Amino acid sequence: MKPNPPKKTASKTAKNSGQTQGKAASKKSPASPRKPAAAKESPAPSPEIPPMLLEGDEPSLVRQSGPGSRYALGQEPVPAPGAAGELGDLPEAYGTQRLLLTARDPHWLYAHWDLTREQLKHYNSRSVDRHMVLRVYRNEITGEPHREIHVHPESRNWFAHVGLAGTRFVAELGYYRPNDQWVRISTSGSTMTPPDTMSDDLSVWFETLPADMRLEELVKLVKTAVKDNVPLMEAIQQLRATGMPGLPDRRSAGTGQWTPEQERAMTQVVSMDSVRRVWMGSLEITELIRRQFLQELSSQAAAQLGQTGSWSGAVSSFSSPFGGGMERKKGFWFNVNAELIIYGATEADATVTIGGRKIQLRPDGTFSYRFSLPDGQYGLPAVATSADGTDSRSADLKFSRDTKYRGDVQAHPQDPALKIPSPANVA
Amino acid sequence: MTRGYLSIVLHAHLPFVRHPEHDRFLEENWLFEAIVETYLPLVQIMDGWLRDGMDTRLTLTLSPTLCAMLTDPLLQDRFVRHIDGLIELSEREIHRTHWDRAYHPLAQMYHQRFTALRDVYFHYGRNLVGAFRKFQEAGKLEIITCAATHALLPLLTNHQPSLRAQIFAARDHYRSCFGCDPNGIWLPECAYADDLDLVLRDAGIRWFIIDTHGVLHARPRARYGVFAPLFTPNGVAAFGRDLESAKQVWSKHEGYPGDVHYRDFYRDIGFDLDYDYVKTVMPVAGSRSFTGIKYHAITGHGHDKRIYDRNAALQKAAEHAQHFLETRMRQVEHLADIMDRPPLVLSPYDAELFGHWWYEGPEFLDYFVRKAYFDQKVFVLTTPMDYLRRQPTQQVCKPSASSWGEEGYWKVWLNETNEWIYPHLQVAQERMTELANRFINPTPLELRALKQAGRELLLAQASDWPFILRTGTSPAYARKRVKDHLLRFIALHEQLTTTKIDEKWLGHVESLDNPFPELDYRYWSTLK
Repeated sequence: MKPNPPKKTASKTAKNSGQTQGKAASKKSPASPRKPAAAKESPAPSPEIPPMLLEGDEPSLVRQSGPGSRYALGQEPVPAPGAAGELGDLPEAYGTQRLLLTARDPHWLYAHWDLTREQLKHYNSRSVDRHMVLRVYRNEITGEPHREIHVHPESRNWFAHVGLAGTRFVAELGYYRPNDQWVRISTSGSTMTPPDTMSDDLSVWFETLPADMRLEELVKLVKTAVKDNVPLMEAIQQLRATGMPGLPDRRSAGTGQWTPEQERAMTQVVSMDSVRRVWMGSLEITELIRRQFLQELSSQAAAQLGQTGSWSGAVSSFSSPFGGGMERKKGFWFNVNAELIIYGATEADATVTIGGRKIQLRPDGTFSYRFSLPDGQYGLPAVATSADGTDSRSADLKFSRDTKYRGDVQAHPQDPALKIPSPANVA
Repeated sequence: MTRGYLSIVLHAHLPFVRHPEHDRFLEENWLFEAIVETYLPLVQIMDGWLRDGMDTRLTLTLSPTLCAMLTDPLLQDRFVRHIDGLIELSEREIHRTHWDRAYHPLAQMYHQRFTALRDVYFHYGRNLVGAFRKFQEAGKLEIITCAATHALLPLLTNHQPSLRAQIFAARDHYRSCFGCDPNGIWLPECAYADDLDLVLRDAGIRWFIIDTHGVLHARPRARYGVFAPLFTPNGVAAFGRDLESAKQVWSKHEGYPGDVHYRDFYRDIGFDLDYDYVKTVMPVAGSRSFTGIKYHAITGHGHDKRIYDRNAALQKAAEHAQHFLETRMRQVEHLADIMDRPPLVLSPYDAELFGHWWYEGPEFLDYFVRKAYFDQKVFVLTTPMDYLRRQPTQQVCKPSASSWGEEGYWKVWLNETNEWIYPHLQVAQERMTELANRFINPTPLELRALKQAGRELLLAQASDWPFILRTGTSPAYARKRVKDHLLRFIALHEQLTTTKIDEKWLGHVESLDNPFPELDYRYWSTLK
């Protein structure tokens, strides 16, 4: 399926605008109209292709490879039709009306609503705004929403900035009828943004779990006395207080004196500042390197890199993690080199050496070998000996190469962007 | 006197890529390159440790999809074709460089190396899973599992049966490969979210790894930071990643692999030489690719690179191993001075860093482990499970949701380039649970269809596809894979619920997507 770039761009712009609205878009704010910037900025007619599928087809901006980014091979061909090719394409929506909400990081949520094109059209037409509204609440759907986002009429998803780490959120999707009457379409499950600070709770609780004790057995043991939903460690603690036999003994390790000096010293060993400096997961390393590498290039060269698109995927010119990468040539350039092809044939069971090294004959007794030919003078003895060792032939081949260069001429490499020559072109 | 412990953990994983419908397939080279450059060299160095009677420890993830591919006869055949092609090309390189004396010894090195690696491969009956199992059974290696298809688990927490299926299918597969239960699991991308530990506990998993901030942001605060594991509320041990040792290996400028003596990754004869000459090893006709034969060292940018000096590079690897050893000794001593228990430094890395990206990585690892074993007494190399045997008492904390990806959470796998996947997954996941609840006693044919539906769903959930869509290395392929698996799932669901099972088509799809042959579809059930 081909994307429709102009409409897509419009959709993205709208989305970005919506994400930064914050509370300004709240229906309670008299200073701000409820109409979202998104709707204003995007007068495009309804797209033929839903944004959900277009987003999957977007060309990626990040082209790189490196540790963790292990999927680097070279030029990516267009995939051949697979066995499921005949199954067509994925549906644009299923129409379940479900609202999916999931935290992406401490500050952002992702929401998706599964509405068909007809359902979208229906709800948009019932809305006084001609679009739907996503309301995000803390903990539960009650009181004022934490965020109220007026979404693009064609959208089925939104990345919503909430800016609150370690907080539980739920959302509802709906629209306004006249007189601010709210109509709910769907409610999400809850999601929790990860905390992004160190805990102030310095309490310490040690527990002993012998490695040779199977967790399954322990769970069975505590289940007899504690409800299912109590976490195992808490259940053990509760049962130990009751004097239940069969529980692991709690050992004294780590339960001794721990001084403020020790606490401070440990904090200095590793801090979140250092974590952020070296956050280098599977993608991070290549991201960092890419940025560093781009900084190292001159701005002119960087601009050229941005303009040229013929270097594909893995061999992108600024992607080398542990090497300089292959720099894009600037302006006119010329690479030329010379190799020799030594070829011949003899009895299939004969032994042939070239330059003193035994070579492998093809089953029909023919052979063909290439030799790099740097400038200089060379001799190459080729010897064939019959299988029974009674007969032998040889040839002493002599070559010389003397190249005069004018201007910057390199021997390597070939440009991977070049197409493979067809016989007609090299004849 | 031993003052602490160090655990080196390598994570080996590749997505399931197997295309019997094509004679050659570009993305299958991910596996072949990793076998040549990482997995076989690892087997070689561990064989050396065994041979030399070293009682040392390493931890290695072998993801279920990787195990499935390493034991697949078709891919084994294709790997042999791949390495035979490299041997043949390196043989031609020996001739071609006859007058290019600077390159000639390198051509010989590649020929010897490929030939030796091929010998190792056949020595283990083409079964690298069996090779690693041998080291585990000898007590030198702890092999851990991973989610079945490397799904990013925090994005599955809104569908518990899917979480359960990813973990339990992985455990079952591990049993079939290694004849025992896994003690540890590599959470894909070290991604953890609240309550994941409950599923891990139910699967009998004893430990996992999280990124540093997952420990630093734990509730209550973790007294020892990442230098001792935590017990999660459900009793699974969470080990935090040490940053200092990570940085020394990962970082380009501060880290070892960027040293100018090491082999450059990008200059490769697959791109340097005449196409007709190298086309025999190209996975796709008409396209250039890496061959693995590279003659240059890392020397700045552009093409003017110094010719690779193997001996100088190995000397540098030895120096770096010595440096890594000395810094670990200092680190452990410093920590032991502060802490009231022996510290543990845990250093996890992508396995493919060693060899594939950092060509001298396996030698570095070999030198380091040997030095650590023979030359010092400050720390002992251990595995997380061995550590738990020695230290069964730990602080109970709730680790923080986190990953080791960009910015520390799920942004890499959930952004504008790949979010379109998740709504489809959500529907498919719920439908899979409906199927599992509905078919209590399936006929043999229904059972096949149910298992295949489960396989397609698992394969669609792989985090590799959104990752590739984000990085842009093979986006067309990743997009197609997600769509193919989802479409196959949708067709199977329809056949099971509204039409009838097309046995011929089912057989065909079974032959294509064949990991997890014993998959239990009831893992998706919500019935008690």
